[in-house]
Amino acid sequence: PGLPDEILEDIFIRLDSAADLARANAACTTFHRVVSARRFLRRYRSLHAPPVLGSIVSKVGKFHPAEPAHRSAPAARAVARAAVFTFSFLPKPNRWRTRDVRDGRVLLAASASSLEDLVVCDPLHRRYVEIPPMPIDLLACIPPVPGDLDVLEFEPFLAPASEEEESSFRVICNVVSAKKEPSFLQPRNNGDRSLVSSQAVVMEPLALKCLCFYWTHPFRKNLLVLDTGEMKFSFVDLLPKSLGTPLQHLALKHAVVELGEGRLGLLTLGSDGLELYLRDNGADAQEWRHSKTVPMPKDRWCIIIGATEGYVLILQTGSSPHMPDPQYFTLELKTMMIERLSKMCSRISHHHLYANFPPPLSPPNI
Amino acid sequence: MAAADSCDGISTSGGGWEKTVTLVSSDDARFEVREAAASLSQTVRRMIRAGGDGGIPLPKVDARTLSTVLEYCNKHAAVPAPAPESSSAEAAAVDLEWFDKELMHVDLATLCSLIRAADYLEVAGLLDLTCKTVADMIKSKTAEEIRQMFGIQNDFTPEEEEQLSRENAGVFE
Repeated sequence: PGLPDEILEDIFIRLDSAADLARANAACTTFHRVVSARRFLRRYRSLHAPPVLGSIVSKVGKFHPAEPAHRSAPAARAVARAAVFTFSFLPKPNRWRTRDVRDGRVLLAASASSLEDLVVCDPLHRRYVEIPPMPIDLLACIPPVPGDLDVLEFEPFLAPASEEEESSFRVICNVVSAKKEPSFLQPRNNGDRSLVSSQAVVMEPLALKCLCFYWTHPFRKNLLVLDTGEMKFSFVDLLPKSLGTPLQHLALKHAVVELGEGRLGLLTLGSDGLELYLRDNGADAQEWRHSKTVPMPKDRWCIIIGATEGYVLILQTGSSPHMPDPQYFTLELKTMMIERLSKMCSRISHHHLYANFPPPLSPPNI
Repeated sequence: MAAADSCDGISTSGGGWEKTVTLVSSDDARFEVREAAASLSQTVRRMIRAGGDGGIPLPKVDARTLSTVLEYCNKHAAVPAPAPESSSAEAAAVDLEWFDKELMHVDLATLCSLIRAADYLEVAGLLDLTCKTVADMIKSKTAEEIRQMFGIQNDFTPEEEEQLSRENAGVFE
């Protein structure tokens, strides 16, 4: 229609659905040139959160795409076809377990307690990088050697990419030892290593979004916050006064989420459904206040599996002739919309939500 | 005022006096507009500041398009600012929304002219409105339907086409 590229960009940027954008991309070479330009995709990604496409099972080799009826089902199908979630492109493909998923990248560790072998890969483009091992002097700060029983928990995770550094990423490791001493964090930025801080707190890991990570502890009334932008810790008073149940009774029933504009949310699963509490996240933070209740079917048992990239993963079980199997549901935080994601297939393993744009809109990110 | 020559005035319904400017389209049509409305265009605002004789020339916008742009500007600049959250603010917002919707009941060629004009004149609200309207027209269409809509040809080579359909498998179903 004789519109210059900048104006076509202005139009395409307003397509909310990635599938619509993918179809416009395939219309002609001009549209394709505009849509596939890195500059445009960066702009698009900064305005639109990637849709959740399914879940990756910790045990390698399983991806459950969003099933029909979920808005992302077509894009999920496209990704399921194009990506390699068996990670067969990795050396010794059978030894890896999925530990974290974010920004289209998957963090894999060689075994549950290994402090040694980590890789980050892009299943869509079959690329990976090995993360350099932790330096010996840092390892000496924590009592155990890899595989030692003193290590109660080894939790490597991917720091969320900031807008400017879309193509780079960081891996952070949280090590919890039996001596309750250094819960230990160590950022690794493709070889650049430094000890950031150690904390004498054992925390139950859960829930995150945006640039901060949050840990709750069943017997503490505050929340440990790690700002991955500045690599700084802080505490936030947890627990709304109106919340009747102590947090220790809410194992697998709560998640801490960021809702944008500096608002922090606490989601709890109660008898009436999902309760959302809000507070402003900042130095002059106010008291928590109850914001809304999202109804959930009462005859079924629900737990919160995790929260990532604007979505919460909920598992629902229960006996019903219409719903014979346990089902996964997603809650989109932006709209508070609950959608059925897929049937639960793998009973033992942990699931990670995988959110990404379909292939033509996802250039390699490693 | 440096721009005295292109600024005149008209009396308002309230009996007040409002400053106006004259805009000249590419086909030499002259439009006398309230300065408050014309200033929704950042381009015009800069030209008012720079001053000039005999109206502000807008060589990239024809009369038909300019009159629609000014219809938009007049409506949006006329909105008084009542106390937020009051019922009249809500009513004004609903009225504006309805006005915008009506304004967008035009064919694609006209829309594209409006987009180009809004871009050149830097009327942010109109650019957003027109682009959003075209984006809504693209929504849920197949690649072929998008081509028909814009009157464009599929100019991919067979190889490129195959690559695209591989990448897009699933998205089109």
